[in-house]
Amino acid sequence: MRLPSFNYLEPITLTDALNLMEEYHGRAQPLAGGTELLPRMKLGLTHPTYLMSLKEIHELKGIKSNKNELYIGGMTSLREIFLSTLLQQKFLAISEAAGSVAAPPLRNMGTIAGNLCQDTRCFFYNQSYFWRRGLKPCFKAGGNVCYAVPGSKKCFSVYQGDLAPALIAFNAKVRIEKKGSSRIIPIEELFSGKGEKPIVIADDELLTQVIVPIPEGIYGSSYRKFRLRNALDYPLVSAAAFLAIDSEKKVKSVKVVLGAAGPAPVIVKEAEDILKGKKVEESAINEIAEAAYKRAQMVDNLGLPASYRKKMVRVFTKRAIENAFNSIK
Amino acid sequence: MVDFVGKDILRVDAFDKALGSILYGPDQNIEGALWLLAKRSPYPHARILSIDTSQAETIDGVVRIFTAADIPGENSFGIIPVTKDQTLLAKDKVRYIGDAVALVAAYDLKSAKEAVDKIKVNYEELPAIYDPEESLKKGRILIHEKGNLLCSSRIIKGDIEKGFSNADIIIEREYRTSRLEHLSLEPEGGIGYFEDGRIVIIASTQNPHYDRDDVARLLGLSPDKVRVIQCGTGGGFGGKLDISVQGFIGLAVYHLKRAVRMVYSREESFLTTAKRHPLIMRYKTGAKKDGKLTAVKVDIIGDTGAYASYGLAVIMRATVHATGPYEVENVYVDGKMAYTNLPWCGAMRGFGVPQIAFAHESQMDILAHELNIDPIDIRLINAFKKGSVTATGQRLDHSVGIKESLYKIKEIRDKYSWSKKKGERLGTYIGVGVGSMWYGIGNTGVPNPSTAQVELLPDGSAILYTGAAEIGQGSDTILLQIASQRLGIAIDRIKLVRGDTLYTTNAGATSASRQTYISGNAVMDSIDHLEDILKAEASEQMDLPSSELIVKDGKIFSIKDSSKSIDIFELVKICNKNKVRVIGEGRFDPPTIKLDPETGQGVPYATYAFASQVSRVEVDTFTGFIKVLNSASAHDVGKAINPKMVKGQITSGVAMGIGMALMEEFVPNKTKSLKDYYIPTSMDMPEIIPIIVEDKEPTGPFGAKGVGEPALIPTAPAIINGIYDAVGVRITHLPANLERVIGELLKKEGA
Repeated sequence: MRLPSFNYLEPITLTDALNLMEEYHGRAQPLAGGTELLPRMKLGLTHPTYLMSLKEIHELKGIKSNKNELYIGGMTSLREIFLSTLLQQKFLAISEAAGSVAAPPLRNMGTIAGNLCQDTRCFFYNQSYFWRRGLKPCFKAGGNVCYAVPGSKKCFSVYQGDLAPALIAFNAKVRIEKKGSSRIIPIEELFSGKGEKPIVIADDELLTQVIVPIPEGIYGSSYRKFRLRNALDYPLVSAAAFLAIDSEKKVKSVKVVLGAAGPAPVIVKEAEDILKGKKVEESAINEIAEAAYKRAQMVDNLGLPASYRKKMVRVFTKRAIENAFNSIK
Repeated sequence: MVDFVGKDILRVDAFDKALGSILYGPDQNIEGALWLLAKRSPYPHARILSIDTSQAETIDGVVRIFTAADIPGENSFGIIPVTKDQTLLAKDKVRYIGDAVALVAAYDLKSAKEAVDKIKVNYEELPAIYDPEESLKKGRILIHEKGNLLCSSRIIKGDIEKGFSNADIIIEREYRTSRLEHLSLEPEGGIGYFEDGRIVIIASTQNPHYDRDDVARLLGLSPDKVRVIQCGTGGGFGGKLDISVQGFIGLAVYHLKRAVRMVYSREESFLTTAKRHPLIMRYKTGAKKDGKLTAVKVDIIGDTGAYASYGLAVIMRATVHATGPYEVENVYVDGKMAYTNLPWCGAMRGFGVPQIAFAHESQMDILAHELNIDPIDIRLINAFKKGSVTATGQRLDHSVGIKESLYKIKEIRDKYSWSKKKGERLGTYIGVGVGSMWYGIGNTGVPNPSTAQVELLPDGSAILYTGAAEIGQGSDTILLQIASQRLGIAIDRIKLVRGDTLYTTNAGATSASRQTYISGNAVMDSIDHLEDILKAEASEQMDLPSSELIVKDGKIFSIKDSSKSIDIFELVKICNKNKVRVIGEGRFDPPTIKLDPETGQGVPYATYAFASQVSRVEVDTFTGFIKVLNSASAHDVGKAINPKMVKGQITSGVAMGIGMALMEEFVPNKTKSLKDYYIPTSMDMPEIIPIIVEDKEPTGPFGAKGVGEPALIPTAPAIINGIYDAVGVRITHLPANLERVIGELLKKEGA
């Protein structure tokens, strides 16, 4: 499989990039690490006329922080995030999530913005032209059938990004810019919840920065990912947990977020009610795991049956909370 | 004198491979070559009513479209001469999703794709069969006219009923394995052109001379009108034994007399090339309380899919090896291979033995646990030794290293105190499993000779001619090491001419772990012949009878007076001056005796490789995830011509075996590409300790046997038995994927 032809743009400043996006009326497809986009182009799932590489825009790279917030440039590599001492010390779940993506060569290329903005996936959609040509297009391909759930009226493709659940657990935000304007939204608002078009960024907008508030007090975090092999695979289920406690080891705040459990990351909202003000005990963790199990939306469209993946939601929710608690020093 | 055999000589292709200068099948190109693309069946079983190519032919860029009517010779091929049942382009019927019905030749791939979509085939769908046992029931629809049974094979030794009546314990279980994909580094591909009145095909292959003969047959030509050249081949594993692109390229060049190119996409390779045969194996094993086996009865049903390919060889090999490397007095094995409308199955590293070893080694493990005997000890109690008689009545007189391999792994297991225990994380358990195997080198009970030539040149160098395909396993290096050792000249002074049917003679397939033993011996024989020629010439020059001469260190000496000698290359110069080439011709065919069709008695192989493996695994009882922690494999290879390469083979076998044991499963109609067919990554590899056992084979070159396939075989059994040791659940259906392991754990919890 080879890349189809395209026109290549390579701005060297953010201003130039935003100008180009306006100039091309949203037809300039941003290219970050390319580890998601290029395979999709090879499979013929997307056909951009213009590819706008962001790799020369150095102002979009790097990790900075002040007293209150951590700033990660959109073009910062997953490798840098994984290896950052600051993240390993204060934002363990984010570092773990970055370190669990694919394999080292892909983490060298892949970026945080690209990872967040990755498309949803489905066994029946992410196939080559050779296989898809005999079938009518599904919802995701602009048609009106679903092969995963025959008779369904919507798309059930799955969001399998690793970074989003960990970032949401830390209440992170993203900066979205277009020519002449900039807005900041909580990461969870980046997701539409619709498999057909999972990311709500307009065609002329760019995700330029991730902002993570630095939590106060005593806290821990963890990202647990389940996959078939120890490298390469997207999560079949994943869970991120953030846990802050007071001096009496009672929970001040908790956030549990699931990955690969629907078309968007799933926040287990029950966690706060179940644990807040209480000590971290097995019965409470089980209760959260049960709530997570109920919230996960899974159908048979990934490598393993939905019934099995759903069972694993419980296991990995528990492991994420336990690990987050154990990471508190 | 410098030794070349038994040394870690660097592979002769190492630099070229590392530098990327070897051209593999899909890299082959000639300026202006036409692209070929096949139109394939979307139905598992259907009658072809008509094919309309008229619309497709009007597409710009399309040069010609071929159908079965364009095949000038016999429209049937298949690697085994008596079961050539596969069509290059389907004539009346398609038998699986992916059967080729038409072939497009176009200036570019885009036009070819467009044309393939525009070819209209009118089918009448027929009911399809997906289950081999269903397929063999009477009154079912016929996949092939001759019936749905491809073949059967039977081994009878002793009195099976008596064997069971003497047993203290009888274990009965059913085992199943899955279809597997070979997944060579590069998919099938090649080019073809017309030159000097011949069709020339350069392609990725394990078997250039077979390719030549079957392409010639398809085209109704004599074999010398087709020349096949093996290009760089990054992997075969049995998947490149059957012809793939070669037939299509041959057909197009035959008609168009111009250069063409064909490369399978990975998806096409998944869909339309051979798979590993899934086997259903029903075992009944009887033993005494002390662990001694008294009887083994096995019923095997294989699914060969739509076509025969190597189905016959796989069922024969599975039945012959069904006892495992153990002495059993009473044996009854019955194997059947059935057609279904699923992707066809053929050779894959081990020809049915990896499947059968999973079953016999599970049986041994169950016996060990039931009788409370150490799993290594129960194998030692039963293992073959010199003088043992196999199920086919063959007496093993030499090179029976199975016990030695068991001692070696026992040493490792005990040294590192590998034993059952709890894992570090809650809910994880560690277990240790053992697997042994035997593997007959070469084809089963049929002649499978190899030939080779060695020529000496006056400049002090030599040329080795061999038809043996190098598919990454290392035969180029091994054969050169053998020649170097025998000729006493450095490896870089020997030029290799390999795998070109115009210049080399048939070495048989690179399969059945046979090239070191069989082609190695052919090289040895050619040098024997060469020495005879030299001695004859020296006898004239030195005026001594040849019987008084010996060849040593590049010279010919008189036995009686070592001061009388002549340099062999001096002789070559003299011969060349007289216009005589100094070329030795060699041939070797392993001595076998055809198996009796009723009882399976005979000598299927001249020699066997033996191996044992111990693997330590961790089972996560919450997820079913299995991590292989450590693995030690001891292989009796007779003699390691190149120890480093033998260790490389063993390591690769463990890697491939982990895939077979834990994750690989080709599900027809579901598995499409690497996105849904999982193979282990480097991050899934355990620590691997390869151990070489050398119980020399007197008929082998320097005592060597083979290791290519044996490397894989004991891995899956060792892992599966390790899972049992860890958590007490027995997986009887490979792979032991997450759901199966969890399912069995839940069943055990429920009970």
